[in-house]
Amino acid sequence: MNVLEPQSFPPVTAEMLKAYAAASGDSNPIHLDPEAARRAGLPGPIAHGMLVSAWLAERAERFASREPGLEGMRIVEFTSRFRAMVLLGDVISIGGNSKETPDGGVTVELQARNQRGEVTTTGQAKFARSTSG
Amino acid sequence: MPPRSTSGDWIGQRAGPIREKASAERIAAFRRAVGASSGDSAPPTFMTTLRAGEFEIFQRLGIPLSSLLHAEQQYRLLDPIRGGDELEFETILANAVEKRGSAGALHFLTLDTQVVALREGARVPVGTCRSTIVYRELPQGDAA
Repeated sequence: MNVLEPQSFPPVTAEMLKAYAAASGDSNPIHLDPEAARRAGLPGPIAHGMLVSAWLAERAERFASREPGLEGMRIVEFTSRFRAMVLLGDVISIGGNSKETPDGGVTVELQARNQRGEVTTTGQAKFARSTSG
Repeated sequence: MPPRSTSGDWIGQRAGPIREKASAERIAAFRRAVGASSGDSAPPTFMTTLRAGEFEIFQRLGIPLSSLLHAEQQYRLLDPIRGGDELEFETILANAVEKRGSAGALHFLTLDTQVVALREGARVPVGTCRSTIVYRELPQGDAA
């Protein structure tokens, strides 16, 4: 089993969420508008869960790019679970571990933590040899 | 129209097929927005951009987006999505489980989306998505 050391991602900013909203098509105002967030019972705008999910996948791919054992493999399944809100100013660090599976693939388990050490998001990336052309 | 109080009736709601192009620019903008390393194909969570079917179903059922929390997301990535791919997808509300309490109801909604790429006359499955979304329905009579 290999360990993925935690790597930090840039602090969450309103500009980042605006860019992600535009690129993802998710312009739910709870991510962009403090008033809309408060009306929804939130302390302020929250990051899109799928933005942190993209970071989990990125962390897994960075790991894979440095592991000779994963050469020629790509992510074939990816799951993320959203456990706690991520707010403006939060700094997310992502680490985890990897293990080989009986079918010859590799499964990477990932955890995202905020600057208070709380787990905000967990995920799992399954790597396998690419069968596509 | 106010939402129905029994979400089991919603199972089977469908949207699509919807066609969208995964242009190179669209993929690049997504890549920049999530800080993904460079690569030829779309990053692993790119299918999150294909939620028009989910949004259509929520709107049809009268569910405000602000009452939703994303709980879980699963993807099966069958074939890498390439810049220029014409994508077609369909979404179905596959399940809805309701838990009632004094503060209203929580509905756990499962939405499944199948995505294909139209390449040289062939329909190539590129991925499937399963979203688990929690809808917090306020007690009837409260203003939204």
